[in-house]
Amino acid sequence: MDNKDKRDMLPEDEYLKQMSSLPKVKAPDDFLQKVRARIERRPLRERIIDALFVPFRIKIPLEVAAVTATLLLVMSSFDEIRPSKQLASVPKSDVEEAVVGKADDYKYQVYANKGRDEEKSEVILDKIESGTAPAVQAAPAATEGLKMKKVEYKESRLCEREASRGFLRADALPAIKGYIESSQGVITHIESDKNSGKTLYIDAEIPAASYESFKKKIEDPAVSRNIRVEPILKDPPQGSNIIQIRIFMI
Amino acid sequence: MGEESINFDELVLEHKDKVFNLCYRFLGNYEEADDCAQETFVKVYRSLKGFRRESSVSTWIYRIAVNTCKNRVASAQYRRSRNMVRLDEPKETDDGARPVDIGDEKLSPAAEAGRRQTGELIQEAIDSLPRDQRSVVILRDVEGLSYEEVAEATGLNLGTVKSKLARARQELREKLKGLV
Repeated sequence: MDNKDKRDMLPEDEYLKQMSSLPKVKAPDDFLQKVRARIERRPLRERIIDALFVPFRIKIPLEVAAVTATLLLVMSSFDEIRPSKQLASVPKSDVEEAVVGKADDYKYQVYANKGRDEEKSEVILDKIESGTAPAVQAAPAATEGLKMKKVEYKESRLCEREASRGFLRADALPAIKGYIESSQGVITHIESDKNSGKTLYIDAEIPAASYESFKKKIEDPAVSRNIRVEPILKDPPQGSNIIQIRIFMI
Repeated sequence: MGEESINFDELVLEHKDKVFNLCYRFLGNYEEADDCAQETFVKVYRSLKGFRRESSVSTWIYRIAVNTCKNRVASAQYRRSRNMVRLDEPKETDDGARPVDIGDEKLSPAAEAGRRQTGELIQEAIDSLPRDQRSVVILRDVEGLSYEEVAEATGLNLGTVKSKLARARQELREKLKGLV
């Protein structure tokens, strides 16, 4: 090949000639097969995506349904194993319905708590028959140490128990009253049998701090074997310093 | 594959040599060109359904090939391979070493050697061009596409194609002066 003047640029026609005469590099004979193999050998990521999501119109709804069903199953299982927070309680409406409309057959009491703040409280009792006392519940633990605070109670929290059958002796009433007053309590109600006039029970309020000692004194066998003292309410409100009690004969 | 495979196979057979040559001239390496050309047709296969026939099929395939080559040039893997492989390294086969380009039977061995050396010099000069200039000069001066076809294949407007081509030619002519 002839040498050209190095100071000159390669003439354009020579340049074009050289460029166009560059040898053509051909693809290998198995090029098509290699392309096919490459198309079929797709990346793992793409194959996973296609397997999971393609076709979209079919797989996406199925997967959404599966995830939704799984979530519902987990949520329902969670609710079942979670401890129940519901406590058994007697609806107030049930207690009220027992006495509505039959005032003659029922003895109910409306009395004023003439204690510290003169709140009114209403006690609706079950049907009272002759010789029977209304049911009261078992006493809860003593609420000693609580502050002196008036608390209102509700009918639905009335204790229930097998009715007592005795009457409080008339000569025991002054002693009982003395015990109540010595414990800084007050009598709030005395229930009597309408036929005989005998005392069925006495309701009183005493300070919570005095309840245990009062109960011990009243139920002392030396005083009486048959007198019992129990709180009217199953679970007095927290912070209450007064316990409403019922004194009755068993 | 269905009906698409028939058309696709025809496309591959019809355009594989042009695409392969483009890739080789762009990348300057046979192995890289083979890989890039295969990748080009894989993209063609996946894009076949979306081809809206706004341009010719050839131009469309050229465009995919050019973009694939540009991405390959920008990759770190390519840059590493360029540092290790010579342009004149033959592609080995089971039959023995085979030259990269096609020999001209009409030339004497000395002339053939001379022609091959010129080709290598030109290829080295093309390799030194920026990617955009490289693509336009290969498409226009090597593949023989029209200015409009070059513009479609590169995504550049006609004026940009001409300006880039002019600069590329000037650089090549300066680099090749006295060597060819």
